[in-house]
Amino acid sequence: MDATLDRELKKGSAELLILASLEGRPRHGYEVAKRIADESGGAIRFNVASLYGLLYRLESRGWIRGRWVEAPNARRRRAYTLTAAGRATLAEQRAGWKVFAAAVSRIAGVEHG
Amino acid sequence: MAEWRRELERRCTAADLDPRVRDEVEREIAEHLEDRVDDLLAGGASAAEAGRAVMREIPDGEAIRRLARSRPAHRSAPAAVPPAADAASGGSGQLITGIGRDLLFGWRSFRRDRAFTTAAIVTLAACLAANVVVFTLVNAVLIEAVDVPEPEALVQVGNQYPNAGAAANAGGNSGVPDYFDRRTAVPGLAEQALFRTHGVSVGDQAAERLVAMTTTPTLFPMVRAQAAQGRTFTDDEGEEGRHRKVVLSDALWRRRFGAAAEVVGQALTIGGVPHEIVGIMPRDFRFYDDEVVLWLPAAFTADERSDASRHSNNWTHVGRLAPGTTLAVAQAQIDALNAANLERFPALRNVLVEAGFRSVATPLVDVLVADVRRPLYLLWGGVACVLLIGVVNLAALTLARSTARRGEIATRLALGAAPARVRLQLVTEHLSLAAVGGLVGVAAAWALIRGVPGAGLALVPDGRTVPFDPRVWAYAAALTVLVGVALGAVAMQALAPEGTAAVLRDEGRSRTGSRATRRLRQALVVGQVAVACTLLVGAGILFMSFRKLLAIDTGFRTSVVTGAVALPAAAYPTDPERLAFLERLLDGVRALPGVEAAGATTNIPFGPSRSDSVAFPEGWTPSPGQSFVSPYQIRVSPGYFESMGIPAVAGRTFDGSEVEDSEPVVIVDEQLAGRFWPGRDAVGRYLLQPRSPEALSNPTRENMFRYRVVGVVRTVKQYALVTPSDAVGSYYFPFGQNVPASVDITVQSAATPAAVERDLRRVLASLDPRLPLYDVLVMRARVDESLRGRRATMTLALAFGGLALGLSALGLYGVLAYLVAQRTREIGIRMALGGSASAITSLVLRESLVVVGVGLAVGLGGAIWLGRWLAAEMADVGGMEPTAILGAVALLLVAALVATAAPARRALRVDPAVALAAE
Repeated sequence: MDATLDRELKKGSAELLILASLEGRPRHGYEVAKRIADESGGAIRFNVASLYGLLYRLESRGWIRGRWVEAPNARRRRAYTLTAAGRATLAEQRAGWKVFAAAVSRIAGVEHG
Repeated sequence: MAEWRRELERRCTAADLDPRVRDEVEREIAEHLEDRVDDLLAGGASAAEAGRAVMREIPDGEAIRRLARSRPAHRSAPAAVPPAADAASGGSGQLITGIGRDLLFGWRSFRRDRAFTTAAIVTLAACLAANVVVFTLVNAVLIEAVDVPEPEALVQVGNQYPNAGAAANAGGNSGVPDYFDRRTAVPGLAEQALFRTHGVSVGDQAAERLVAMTTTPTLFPMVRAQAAQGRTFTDDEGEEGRHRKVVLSDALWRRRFGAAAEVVGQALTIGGVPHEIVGIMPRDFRFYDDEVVLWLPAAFTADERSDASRHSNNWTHVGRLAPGTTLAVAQAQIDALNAANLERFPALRNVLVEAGFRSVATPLVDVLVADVRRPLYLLWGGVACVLLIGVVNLAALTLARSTARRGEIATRLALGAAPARVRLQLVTEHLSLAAVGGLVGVAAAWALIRGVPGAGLALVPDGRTVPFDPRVWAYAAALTVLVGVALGAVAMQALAPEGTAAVLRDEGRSRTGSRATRRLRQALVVGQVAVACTLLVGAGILFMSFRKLLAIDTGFRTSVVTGAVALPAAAYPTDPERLAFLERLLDGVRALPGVEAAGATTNIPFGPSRSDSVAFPEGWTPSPGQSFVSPYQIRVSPGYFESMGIPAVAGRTFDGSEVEDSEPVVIVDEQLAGRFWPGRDAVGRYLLQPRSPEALSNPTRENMFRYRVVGVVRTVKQYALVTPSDAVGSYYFPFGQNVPASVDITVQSAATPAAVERDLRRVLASLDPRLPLYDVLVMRARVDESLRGRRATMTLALAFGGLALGLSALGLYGVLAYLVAQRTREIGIRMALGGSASAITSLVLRESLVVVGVGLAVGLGGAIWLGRWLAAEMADVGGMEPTAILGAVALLLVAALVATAAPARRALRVDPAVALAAE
């Protein structure tokens, strides 16, 4: 994938990706990155700085909440949870993304799956 | 440590972040990379390969800096790192160390924020000092009024004749027969005592004048007091012949006898007669009148006990309610006794009924604080308002500061401090701030009470100390803690994500938010202005009514010098002896250089002695519903009216021709003449006085004293500048026909008061060196003395009003400065679009006027209510004073303009370019 496009895509969709990856259960930063990388078959990877930059920004907006947790026989990690506001934003962005993706597909002439 | 870990640390350090933010970011990245290493190892990579891979993923310093910037301002964290453990799991020792650290931390943060700290301490100190001063007075005057065990059970019983025009003392007085009646007929008062205070001359040569209490021996057991040395009186010492005994106060024993051990049993000459000292009271004993330094047993003569003495009310009657008895029960027994007495003395029945006679039992505490209770409660309420205004200002400051501190608190939370612990720290911090303010305040209050004579001591009875006792300390501490906790709570609220405080600290992100913020701030300042306005108008009313009092014409010359002389019965037993002495004394005084006129009287205006007695014009009989009246009865020497500058408006004054054998004569004042002989010439008419109370029901030549009126003099203010509306005037008898034993000399002289006093003493000493001259005062000082409670109340009220004014001006300044800061951008745009300076100024001015205008409107409502309350509750206050309202409004407007000036100037200095670029 072209580096510029990669950056633009990530920028537009990164928030959506992170929020979506926190749906269901709290995860720590490494888990979020790993899950996105795995699910996208390695197509989408975050570097450390941008991953935590995004997490911090989302937390500032009140969409996710981070807490240090300590499990037995495990290291202390900061786990991020989706907040109610985050859930609402996720639903909104998802809908928006669908409309956008459908439009792009139509214009670009990609076959509907 | 792995190499990548060291590299991460190095880069984080290079990012040059706040150390606490750096720790947080570094830890999270480290955890992430640790996970990555684990995954790589699990995937089969060697440790070296994993290390190299991770090394490449470490962000550089610039990226870390950017990352840190997007960190949320505050995070919550679990209790996991050491600081959190203190409060959660630590013992009390650890908690205390924790609080110590909090204090240290708090002080560092206060030191950094010097402006806030200074403002807070000064505001708190001023407000708390004012409150402590007033509470100290409340404590000394109201709470300590009756300093004996179970003071609430003590009641005073007094006879009142409301329709007779005699101004009753608070609580009222009783006669000797009443005491003996009530001891049997009022079992609700299990213990009773009858007493009166009076001056006595103590010593053989160069006697000194002291205040004594003559009392039935029952007084000491009734107030649960025992002598510190010797004893109090035995019952039989209340009998004629055994009553030459005296009990000394601790103060007198120390002063006069140097606290010598063998004083009990010695003799002390009182009024020229030796008395045996039987006991010395404890140092802290005081009852009823704090000036009393010795006690004498009351031995009543048969004459005093007789029915002829009924309604000669020269004594104070106090009783202690029997256990389980209420005041109402005792009052009912007194009423029943009086009803029975009305039947026993039918001749008096009508007279007493028309006079509205009743004996009233009043809690002793209420009697003793009657004059000062209302002013003190008024002042107490006033200072509470001042504290409220001050705390509102401090709350606003705390909010502003909390906003700035959110980053710091967030970091502490992020580092794992327990929220409870952070809350504790905020409260500790503000408590310590309040404590410093409180200590400074208490010190200031102490200095005021001790150092400034006018600071309110005038509200305290003579001889009473104003203790800075544990109660005062407890009150000051309670207020301090209250303020500290309130400010801590405000700071805590400011850090909560939601709620009022979030609105208040609004950082200008949204328009609605900033509007709500402004509203709330405005509302707070409107409240401050309103309270300040009410306080100022109240103080103004007191000030204006005080000025009116000062402007009242007393009717006599206030430059007259007066001094008291008492002739002991032992040395001057007969009327002719006393009269001869007084004449020689006045002749000597008149011969002094500079003396223009001299005289003497038994009842110097604004002096301590009062006397009234029923009198009526010859030929007058009361119609149904009409009462006899009891005007002031005063004895004066020739020259008295001349020396006092009291002119005769008809007839003559006394000239010395009035002697025992000549026709009894009297002079009346204009008020009494107008009442008794309205529209007619009083001179030449006759004034009658009953020889006994029963005579009133059937006046005859035989049962009446008959006096010819020889003159009418101008009415003077006899006891207060404001004459009670039911006062009926005065009549004067000449010394020559009714010789007194104790007088005040009045001297009108061209010499200075000090010279007059010196000369007076010399003349008196040349006639009888044993006699003390006491109570030497210029009339002006007597009048001032009568106003001292009013003056103190007014001074304190003005001081509190001024404090309230200053504090609300500061509050207004805060709101306007905030407005200008909030609207900098708007102001910039206006200026860029060519808005004139006057338009910008009017923007700020309008805001100021709206807040002050609404505050004034609300405050004036409060002021009108306060004015009514003052007029209703405080004697001598006339009600609403337009000048007071205008003055308060003008002061507040000036203060508002001053508070507006700086923000308006700042608005005008806004640089459009800077304002537009900022966001």
